[in-house]
Amino acid sequence: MNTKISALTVSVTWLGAMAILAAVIAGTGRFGESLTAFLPRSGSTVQRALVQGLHTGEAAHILLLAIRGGTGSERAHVSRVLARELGRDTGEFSLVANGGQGMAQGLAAFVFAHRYQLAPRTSWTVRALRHDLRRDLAILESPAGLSAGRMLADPTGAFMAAARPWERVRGPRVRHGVWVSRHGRSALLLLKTRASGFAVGPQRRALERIRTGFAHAARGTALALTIGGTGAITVAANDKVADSAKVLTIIDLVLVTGILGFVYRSVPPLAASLVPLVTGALCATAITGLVFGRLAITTLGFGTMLIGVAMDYPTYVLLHVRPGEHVSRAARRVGRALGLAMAAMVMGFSTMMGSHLAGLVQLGVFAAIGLVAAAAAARYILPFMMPAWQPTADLGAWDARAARFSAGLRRMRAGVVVVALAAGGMLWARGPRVWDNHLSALSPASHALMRKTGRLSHAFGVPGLSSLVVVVAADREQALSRSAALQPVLAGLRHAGALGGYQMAAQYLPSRAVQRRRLQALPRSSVLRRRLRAAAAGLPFRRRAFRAFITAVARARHAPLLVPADVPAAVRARVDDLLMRVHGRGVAFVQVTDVRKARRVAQAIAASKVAGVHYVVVKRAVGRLLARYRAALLRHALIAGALMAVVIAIGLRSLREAARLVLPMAAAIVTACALLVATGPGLTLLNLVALLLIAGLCMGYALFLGDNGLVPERRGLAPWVCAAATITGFGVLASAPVAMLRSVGVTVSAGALLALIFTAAWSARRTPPVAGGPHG
Amino acid sequence: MLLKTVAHAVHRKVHFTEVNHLASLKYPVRTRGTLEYVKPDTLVMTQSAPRQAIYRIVGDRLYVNRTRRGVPVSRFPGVIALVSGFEGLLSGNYALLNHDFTTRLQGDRKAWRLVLRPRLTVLRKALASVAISGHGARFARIVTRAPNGDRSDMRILP
Repeated sequence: MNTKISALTVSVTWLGAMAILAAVIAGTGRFGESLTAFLPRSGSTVQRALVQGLHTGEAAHILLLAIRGGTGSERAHVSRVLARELGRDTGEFSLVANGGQGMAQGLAAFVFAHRYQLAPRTSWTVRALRHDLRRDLAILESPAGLSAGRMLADPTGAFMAAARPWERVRGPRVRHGVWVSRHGRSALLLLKTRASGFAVGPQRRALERIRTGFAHAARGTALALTIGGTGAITVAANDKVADSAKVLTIIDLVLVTGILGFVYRSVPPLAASLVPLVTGALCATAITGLVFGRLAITTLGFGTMLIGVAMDYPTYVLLHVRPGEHVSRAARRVGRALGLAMAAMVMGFSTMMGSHLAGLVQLGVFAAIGLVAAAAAARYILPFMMPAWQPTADLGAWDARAARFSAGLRRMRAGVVVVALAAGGMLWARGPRVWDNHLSALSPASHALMRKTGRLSHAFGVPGLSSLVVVVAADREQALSRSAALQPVLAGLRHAGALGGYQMAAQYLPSRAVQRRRLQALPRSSVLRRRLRAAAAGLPFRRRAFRAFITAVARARHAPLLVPADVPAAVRARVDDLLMRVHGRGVAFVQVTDVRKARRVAQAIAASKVAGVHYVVVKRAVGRLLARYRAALLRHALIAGALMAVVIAIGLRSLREAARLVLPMAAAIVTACALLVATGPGLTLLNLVALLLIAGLCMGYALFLGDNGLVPERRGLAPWVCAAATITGFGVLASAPVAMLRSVGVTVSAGALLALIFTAAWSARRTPPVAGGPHG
Repeated sequence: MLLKTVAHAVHRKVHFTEVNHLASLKYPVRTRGTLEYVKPDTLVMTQSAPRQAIYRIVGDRLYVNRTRRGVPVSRFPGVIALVSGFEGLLSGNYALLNHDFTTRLQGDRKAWRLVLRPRLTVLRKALASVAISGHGARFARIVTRAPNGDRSDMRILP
């Protein structure tokens, strides 16, 4: 009775502690976006700017909507109602456009008022003016003439020139007063969310808002809505992972519970099996979050996977409970082995803490804390939750089977060597081609949705973020003027068909030097009046029509220079996206669209000799960041492996035993790699992390399979049970519809199987299953 | 009913003459040429005087002569009125007209007059009204007035 009460106390206390940890995580935990984890801590401004640009740039905020079905006027009507309704929600959307509006609010007035600073013109000769006036006359005599009443207030067309960058050069067509797709079968809307497209929660809210708005607007019609854009991809990917994870978790639970239930034949051990993993994960999340302030999602995912080895700890403890024995005694018996395995892994992962990649440091800390906490829970908490538990099943027959199987495998050692060598040789021959460098390999997003977004973006003429020119300078003003220096180069490239177009802040807001030059070029009123008279000679203009023009020029000559803060709020985001401060330096982005000759563009930009200019192909640059992370992880994994071997050799006090343990592990990992490379597109970062998990699992198998004297009265069946649970669990994941989950599932289940077979082949001795005293 | 009658009738080229009285010019501009509406959203105006020019209005963009890059019609409210009037009348789409303009129809099928006034303030700044009159299925005259007193008087020749 007493033991029951204390068991209850321990359980309740543990639950309370976990609840506190969960509250700590919920209260203080801030989870960062994953890409920043790939950044070197001392990364270059270009890299930082790139990541910042990817996450805050215009492209990440845009949602594209298409309304299909029904008739054209029905679609137009719904488009208008929806735009009006969503436009009211200024908290969620910074822009709602369906083609019904002209320029953004306040922008036209701003551009008109400052047209002589914004327009790229400095020639005010009689000749230039006469050229303008002839053109004006042609317009006045055209069908547009009647609308051009105010034209002579701006006879040089400065407003048009200044407004050009602000207008979408290739917007969609308009039918029934709203944007439509090329074939006119769907109405299009463009939305900009305030939240980044990578923020799941706000994006889900925005999508929800759009869908209810549409349902409301389209009530009683047969119209359908399609939503594309970064936000839609983010949410869909998240839902897909969550959905498949839900179903698979249930299948997993049933199967793993079946295996463990067959072994234990009672409920408490099943529940207690989760104690170490939960303890480890919660402790690690809470502490890492507190230490770093911000936990990358990647760290959380990878880290939890690494400490998945803790699922084996309770099995090792509980399977070693002998009839009539307290669980804590069994825990003490296996404690040394578990402690050694844990210490080896922790030592291994601690090398990551010295990495220069923020993500790896976090991962190392997370895994180390998680493993220590999990092992401590298995050794000191779990046994006291169910101190008097007794094994009820007679597994003697299974022990014998496992022993026979191990003995059988032992005879095939030569085969293991051959397989491992062949696998190693194959990896060697492939060289760097073993890596899968496609970014999508790491993304859970569906390709269909990405394609859809691509099509929608094309219909809108929204620039896909494919390449960028990043201009780094001491401050924003300098970055602005340097990027402006690139303009002739880019214009030349566009003219030559090497690229489709470009966007830079300097088009919207010229640098102060340029503004000053333009204003200084403006003639004095008397001079302007004289030149204008000369230019208009023989043309039918009334002289008084130019009065407003002369006043405007006179006023502009003394106008203050514009700064980013002067741009109307509705469109300031576009300037802010292209001109930023990153780590105290000024960074200007030039978005380059539709690059057809990448090499030529790169060469021309390099040849421009503008200081601080970097041409970045986004996909390649992000790929390079990932490759660096991967290389660092690989390097640390190898160091970790070596360190693990050393720790094990010290723990076992025998080099031979350590080799017996580590070599099969290495062979299993190499073979698993070769298998993955041979059957799939190649290895990714995820595979690498999964392989680290296998190293941990394998260590457990080896310690409990071999006669290394670490575990008195070792039970050979334990690793087989552990492996069966792991292989089943991750095997289910291998059937997931999300490539990312599938890859992890295949890697771990195949790796665990190989690890078990290889270690069994190498360490099994013909010893009775549950017998044998301590060896020296 | 009237709109339907008109809509059925016009798919051919019509000749026009136009007189524009503009405050900024010393004398009125007299133009002539042809107008052609091509379903669903193209209006082609070919001017033969005072200068040779072709204006194509496709959807929301205006293309001058053979240029491939058009400018948004939204810059020229007068053109919007012209296009909307033509498109609305010729496609029989009254809803389209009603979206941008308040409409008033006078007369009967023999002799009718449709007056359009812009609803949007943006349009109203540059356009006061458009009056389209005709007989049966034929346009006869389009008078466009700007707020500053500028006026265009276009006659469609039989």
